This record gives sequence, structure tokens and C-alpha cells, in this order.
Amino acid sequence: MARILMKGNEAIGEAAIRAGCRFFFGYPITPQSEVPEYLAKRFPEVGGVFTQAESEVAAVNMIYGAACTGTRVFTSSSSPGISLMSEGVSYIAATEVAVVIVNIVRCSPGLGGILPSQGDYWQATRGMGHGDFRILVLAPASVQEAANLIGLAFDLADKYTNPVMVIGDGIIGQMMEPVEFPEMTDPKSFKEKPWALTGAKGREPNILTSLFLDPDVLEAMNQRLLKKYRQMEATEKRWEEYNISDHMDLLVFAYGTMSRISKTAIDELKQEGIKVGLFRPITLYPYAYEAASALIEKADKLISVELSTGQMIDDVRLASKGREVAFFGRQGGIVPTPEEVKSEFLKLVKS
Amino acid sequence: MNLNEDKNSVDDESRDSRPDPRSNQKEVHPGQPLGVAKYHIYTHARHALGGHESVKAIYQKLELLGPLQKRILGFLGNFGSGKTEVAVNFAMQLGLAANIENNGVEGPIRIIDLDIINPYFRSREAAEPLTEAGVEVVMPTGDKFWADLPIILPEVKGLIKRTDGKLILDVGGDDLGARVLSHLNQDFPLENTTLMMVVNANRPFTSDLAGARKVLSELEDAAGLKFGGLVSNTHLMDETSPDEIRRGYEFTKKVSAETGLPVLMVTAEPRLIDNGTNSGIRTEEFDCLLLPLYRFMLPPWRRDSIRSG
Repeated sequence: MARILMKGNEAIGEAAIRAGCRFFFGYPITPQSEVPEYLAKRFPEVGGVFTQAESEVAAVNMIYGAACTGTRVFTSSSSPGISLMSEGVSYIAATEVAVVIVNIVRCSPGLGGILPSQGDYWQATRGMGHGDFRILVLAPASVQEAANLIGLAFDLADKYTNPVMVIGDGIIGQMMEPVEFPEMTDPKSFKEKPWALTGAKGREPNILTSLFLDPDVLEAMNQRLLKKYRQMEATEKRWEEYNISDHMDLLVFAYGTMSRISKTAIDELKQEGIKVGLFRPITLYPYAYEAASALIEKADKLISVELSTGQMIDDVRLASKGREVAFFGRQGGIVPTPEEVKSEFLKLVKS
Repeated sequence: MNLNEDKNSVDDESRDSRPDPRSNQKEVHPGQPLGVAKYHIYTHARHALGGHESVKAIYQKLELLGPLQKRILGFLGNFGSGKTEVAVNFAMQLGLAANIENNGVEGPIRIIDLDIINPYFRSREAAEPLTEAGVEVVMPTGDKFWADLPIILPEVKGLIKRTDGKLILDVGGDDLGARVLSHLNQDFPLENTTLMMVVNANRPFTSDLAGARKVLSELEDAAGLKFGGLVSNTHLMDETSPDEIRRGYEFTKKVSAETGLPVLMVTAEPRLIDNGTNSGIRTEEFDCLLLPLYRFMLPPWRRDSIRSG
């Protein structure tokens, strides 16, 4: 298929269709509204079902219900909307059904503003709802990668019967870049899910729930989930290394839009003979600590750069085993220029 | 301990520095260099055109023919077709051309940001270089500058009815965005208005003739106004080749043949235009205006090749 120009949000919608997803339930919120808008136009062409829910709380419960039938389903929202969904995400994780959730992050806390941010890192990686559960979190840095990771997200959600989040700051959702999609996956081609609610004709009814009153049963469920998360940690870590050398003046940690701004700064510093490498996590959970640690050993200084007040820095510290980690970030929707980032890097290298 | 008497509580100390909830009511005058300009985060526009002589030279060679001589020139199209970049570049050209005496273009040149649906990448973000080029930018001000609210400024109706200079309209995408014109269509001097549909054949929903025609009639229905021409804006961002421009022009000509609407402009980044060494496109290949288009709406990691100063 030829490359076409798409906004990140549109590419997310098309990639979900290509992945065999035919159900979307959601509620509009800037800066992700082009996802439902695109699907409202495109789904009728492929026999998909788009419903605008009355709220994010309704939307998350609609995807919960659809997921119980074993079908591929997703929703998308932005920060405050994701908060509203968090109770449902916990139920979905506990019930062990597969959903994909897209968060095109805007600046918060509170109602905040509509400009880009990475302020939902902790929420995505640590606090997506009550109770002991984790969700896989994928962070694209381009429109093409957003499309690719949506496909991966559906596969991983099915593999682990667990929620998978694709998280991007507003720029990832709003900007246009050329993109190419894989061939269409037939929604009927997926293997049968014996646990799914498909109408109990000729078999015992399946029951899906997150309610377990017996403490022994509930503890066993917690342990079962934990085993699944350990397996994710062992097999699903993804990251990109950029401009890595055996002896770096500085190693930068950044994801999404900040990684691209950092790359521009790194390229310019390279011309000036300053060796700056980049570690870009693609999975925010599980975080590739071991890979990061191996690079950290080759670097004099470390810095986490974020569109938040210092959230991913927690994971960088876990990887750095006690080494000092510097921080640079902007908030409120202000995105630093490559010049600004470059001068922060220089300051640190020369200090 | 009585907490109310604890003068050292965090709350007491930090309340004073809370943001002013009334900050949205502050005065910012349209057309003036913006107080918010330091937050120009999506465009490095301030670098792009300000004082670059070679850019100015291209811009000053402006010749407006036929429907482009009308006073009101509006750009509509589907989502992401490039309306804003075209409108901003065209307004910039007009602004610079109007500064030259007896050049056939009379000011004042105004641009109205009528985008009521996009949250980012709107023409208001290029307000500073537009203003520098002598273009009056009409857009929501104060912190409404950043809002994605359907704001139609009270002065818009009056500006449409005026008879001086040129008025460029940057209308939001799709039929949803075009709906803003249905509110204003009684006020348009139709004999002095040309609305153009911006076509990018590399965008979803307008990649074939049937799609382009469907979008065209949806836009006309939503606006309650008829189109007077087409703009060929087919590109693939940094991956655009001269042949991509030619292919897009051929496609727009087919839309033209089906609809009877003339192709009034073809756009291309200056690097794709023939300069004697790059085997780029030449003006004589097209029966319409070739608009050199500099990208204003850039992602923040992009560095511009053109800088002022």
C-alpha cells in the first residue's frame, strides 16, 4: 500500500481497523477527538461499530462488555477522560479480558489545557486504577510508530488477556506524517476464545467477573495476575538506542515527542564532538531496566527529559542503581525547542 | 492544635502564588505582536520568513488573475488538506506584495482564523510573522488563543462587508469546520468572493475522484456557499518530489473537469521549484498560480532551513 499523509489520531483509527478491530466506544475530548471522528466515517465502510458513549465511564464499561465476547475492541481518550475510565480498567484487568486504550495526553492536573504533555506517566505505569494490577504501556514517537504499536497492542492484549495502553502526548495525536499500513486482518481469522461470552448454545455458560469474596480465591487470583506481569517483564520490553558509544559524555532518557527533540539536539552536539546517547523506552511498562543499566555504565552523566515535572526519572533511577540523574522538563503544554534542550545538555556535560 | 491558627501551613504560603482565575480576561489586541508569542511551540515561523531576502523576492512576484482578483478569498477542505499552510502563505505573499507600490495588490490584507475545530496547527500560530509582513490577523485572543472553542469574533461580519483590501479566510476542516460559514453566508458579497477547495490526493477520503467530489458537496452544503475554484496541494511532507506535485496537479485537473471548477493554484515547497540546478517544477507547467509554500506548522523537533537575521 502507498504511503499516505495522516494525523496520528487518524492513523490510530486506521491501524485498529487493519488489526481486525471492529468496535470502538468512546467520548470526544481534545486532543484525541480525531480518533472517534475518523472511525465514525471509516467504520461503516468495513462493517464496524462506533458508538459515542454518554461519558468515559460508560465507554470503558462498553469496551469491558465487548471484550467479554472475545472480540477486538478499543477506546481512546485524553487525560481527564482516562481518569474517569480508571475504575473500569481495574475491572477489565481483574476479569482478564483484552482491550486497547489510547491516551493522547493533554496538560493537567485538573481540567488543565489542551496542549501536549507527558504528565500521565505515573498514572499509566503505576496507577491506572485500584488494586494490584498492571497494564502494558506502549509509547510511540511518530505517526508510523503509533500505527505499528496499535497493531502490536491488540496482539499483546490478546496474548495476555490484559488491557494495553498506547500513550502519546498531544503532538503525536495531532501532527501529520506519511504512514503505511499493513494489510487488513480478517476479524474472523482469530482463534476461538473458549472463555468468551458467545451465547451458551450446547455448552455450560461462561461466567466472567472480577468479584471474588473468598480470600483464598482472591489471593490466588492476585498471584495469577502477578505471574502474568512477570512474564510481560521477561518478554515484552522494547526500547530504542540512539547514538550510543562506548564512552558517552551524557545519556539522555526520553520518550515520545521529547525523544525526537532530544535527537535533534544530540545530532547537533555530535557535530561539535560531544557524545550524547539516547535511551528511548517504547514500553513504559515493562521498563527495560537491564538494557538501560548496560548503557548507563558507558555514560558520564544521566538526564531524564520530559513534558512533566519528573515522572519517568523514577524508572531511570531504578535502572541507574543509585547514580545521580539530572532532570529537565517543561509543563503546561510548553514544548522546549531543540536549542533549549541542547543548552541543558551542554550545561550538564560541562558542569 | 487548631489548624486554622497555624500560619505556617503549606496552604497559607502557596495560595498567594496561585494563578489568577481571571487571567483569561486579559486584553490582547489582534494584529499586534502577541504577548503569547513566547509560547509559539508548534511553529518556528518566527524564523521562517521575517527578513529573508530570497523568500521576499519570490513573494513579490505575485500576479493575481481571474477569480483570485476577488476581495474575499476563502480556503476550505477536508481535515489536513493543508488549508492553513496555504492560507498563511498566500496571505504572507499578499502582505509583502501590498507593501510595494503599483504592484497591483492593495492593502490592507487581513486573514481571519475561522478554524473552530482544530486544537493545534492553526493559522493564529503564525500570527507573529504574518503581522511582520503587514497582514492583520483576526483571531481569538487572551487565553482563548489556545482554546478549541467554536469562537466567531464579533468583528468578522463587519470585515466581510468591507470593500477595501483583501480578506483571506482560513476555515476549519471538513463539513464540521465549514459549518462556520453557514452562520455568515448571508453577509458575503458573492460577486466579490472566491471560495477554494484545497485538495491533497494523499489524504484519506480525497484520494480518488469520487471521494473528492463527495467532500466538495459536503463542504458546499455545510457552508451554504458554492466553490469558485480548486487548489492543488498534493504532497507527502518531506517526502514530496516534483513528480508528486505534477501527479497532484493532474488529479486536481480531473476534479476540475468533473466539477467545472478551475484550478486556481498549485502549491510546492521552494526546494521543489526549478532553480536551474534541481530539475524542479516550472511555472509554465501549470495553467494557474504556482504558490511557493513554506511550512509554518512544524513539529517542535524540526529546525528550519530558513532563518531571519
